[in-house]
Amino acid sequence: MDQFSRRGVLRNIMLLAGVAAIPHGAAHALFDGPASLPPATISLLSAVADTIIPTTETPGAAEAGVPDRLQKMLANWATPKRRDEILGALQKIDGAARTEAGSTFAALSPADRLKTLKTFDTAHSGDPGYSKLKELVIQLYYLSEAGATVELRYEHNPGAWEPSIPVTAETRNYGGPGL
Amino acid sequence: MFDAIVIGSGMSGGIAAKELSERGLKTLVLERGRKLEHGASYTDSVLPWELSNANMIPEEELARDYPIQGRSYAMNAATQQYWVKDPEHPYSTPEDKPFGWFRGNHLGGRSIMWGRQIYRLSEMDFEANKKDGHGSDWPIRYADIAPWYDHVERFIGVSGSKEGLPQLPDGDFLPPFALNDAEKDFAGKVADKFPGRRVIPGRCAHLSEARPHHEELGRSQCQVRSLCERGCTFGAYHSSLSSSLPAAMRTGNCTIVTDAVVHSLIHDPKSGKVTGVRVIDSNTKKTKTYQAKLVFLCASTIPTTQILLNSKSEANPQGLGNSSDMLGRNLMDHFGAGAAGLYPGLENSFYRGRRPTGFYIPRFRNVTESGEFLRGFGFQGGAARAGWGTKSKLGGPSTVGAELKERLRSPGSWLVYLSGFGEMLPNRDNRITLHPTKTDQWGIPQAHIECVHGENELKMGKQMIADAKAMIEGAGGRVVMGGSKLTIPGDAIHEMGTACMGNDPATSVLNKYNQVHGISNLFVTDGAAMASGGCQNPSLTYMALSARAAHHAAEFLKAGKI
Repeated sequence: MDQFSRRGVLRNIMLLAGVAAIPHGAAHALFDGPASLPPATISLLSAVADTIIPTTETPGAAEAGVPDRLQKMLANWATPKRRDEILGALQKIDGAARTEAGSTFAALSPADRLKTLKTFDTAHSGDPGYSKLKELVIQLYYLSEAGATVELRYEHNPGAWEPSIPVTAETRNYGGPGL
Repeated sequence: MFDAIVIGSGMSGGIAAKELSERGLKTLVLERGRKLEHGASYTDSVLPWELSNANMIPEEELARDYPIQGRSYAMNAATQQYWVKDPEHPYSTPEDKPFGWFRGNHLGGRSIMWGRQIYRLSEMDFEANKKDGHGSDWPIRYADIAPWYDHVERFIGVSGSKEGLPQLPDGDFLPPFALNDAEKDFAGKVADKFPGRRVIPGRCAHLSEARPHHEELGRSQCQVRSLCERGCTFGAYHSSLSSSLPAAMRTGNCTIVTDAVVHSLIHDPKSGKVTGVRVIDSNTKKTKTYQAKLVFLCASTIPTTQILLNSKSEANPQGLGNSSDMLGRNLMDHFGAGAAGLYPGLENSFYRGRRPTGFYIPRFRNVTESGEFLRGFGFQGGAARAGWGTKSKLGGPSTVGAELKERLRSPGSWLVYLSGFGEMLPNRDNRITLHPTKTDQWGIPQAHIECVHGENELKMGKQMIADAKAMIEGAGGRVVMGGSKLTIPGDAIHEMGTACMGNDPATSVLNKYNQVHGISNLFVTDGAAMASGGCQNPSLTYMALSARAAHHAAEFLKAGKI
């Protein structure tokens, strides 16, 4: 029963030193499987995600890998109904772009994408497909390495509880799962 | 032949195994689930961006395999391995009386993904049944268990503050996780507006400071990550894997067998003792009998009673320990409802770290304030600033783009939340029986669970919700979420009772040493033993009862009384 003692201590030291290791076996269960959507849908999905969370002085959703993650979630996580709703919302956004700007959403300039999506967002806040799409983009972004550590900040092992810290103009939220 | 068999390796079984092994008894631990290894089996080092599906279980799989387990707050992709697939572990309830039974199927049981809150019962709780006539009078009082609370708290490590409250006795604590500024503010305002109510740091089984006897077991200080439900490689919270089983193993007296589903106990009517434990290998389905001088049932409330009920013989046609017809009765849980509110102000204060606890409001109804019901409730809660997730759902007009990013970047308003835990009265009609026809995959009759909230619970629940809202509003907050529905029985994951302790064999199953009345070598020390539930989180009491019973069992064995 050596694993109870020595290995535990060794792992603790590794973790304290900031060495992140995915436990063997656990890694298997946690990585995503394959994904496949038609190229036009992938472009649309990327364009929409990157408009919801655009590149500013920090990476946006596309650079953070959100479209790829979302695509995999549609394949591995969503029910067929959910997938249809989300893909339906994407098509509605594309339809809005064609009607308002005469082009596919993906072909619009970032400024025009934002204009189209802002109008769409206001009009479709109760749409289950769009609400879930937006929610997932946000979640995947702030859980991503760029979202959690560049846009926000994240410590896997904070090491101590500091109950009172003054807020400054620079203070950012914490990334990763949480409130 | 072993000296002792401990059935179950969770919260109670881990401590029973440790205490028996440390007293020199050759001890066998039988665990029905698979083997887990401390550290190696955990998922706590998985980083946020390594989580699959944003840490959510695929929707169809969740609906198909986890309709019950999926309701638990601690159930997600990173902890999925710790929860049973519901269809593989069926139980039955009447259609209109749902009961939530949450559990794992692995070494360490729910001690891996428990809530880790630690509160002592008080004298008031041990007197409650006698005083109002519900349930069987506890055969012990606070003074009987207090040294065992001390003993267990010291071993597991409990972070908390001494408060001198009669309804929530203090212990030998490690430093508390301090309240944050909003919680301090809230605590001050609650104390002003509601004299007698206290908001104190939540007491939890975390090493806010590791002592040498913790470090000897490979445990180290809490890293304030709140990844606890994934298993903690630091061993910073007490679990069977981090703490009690390693302590048992280092004595050289303990053997652990996993994948061993206990079917029933063998009772010898001549000696009046239990002589063996019938086990089914969960994979091969082969049966085997283990023998020992004494047996500790720590399988957790429902399986413990299921095993006793299933141990039928000519001499015990209703199951072992059931001559009183009390076995299976007085099933209890805690029940709750809560509220959350926006807490204005304190915009210049924040915190660092993900503290593994919050605050606690000890019981005040029928203590410092009256209630139109028997017994009472406490609140767990906390205050935190809205992070990106909450901010994206709460407040402000819907938006996208740089504006949205900017909004989610800074800490949002403070939110304060309160979650009530109320005491259920012991009620003989809240009951576990064996289903007459349905069996599980090992051929063991399924537990049939019939449990509902009574009038006292409903009255208390109303008060609980009203008090939660009144405190939030009284402290200047605005309630944004106020539960009006109570949790269904089982959903607090504090199921207990069904083999209650008592002095009278006609109205109870266990005596004051947790021995089954009339069977000197059979002990039940898990939640099943509880004669009443108090409103405090119960694990500490299970552990204290286990340690106390193990002490007496070893003494009785030495004295030839078993």
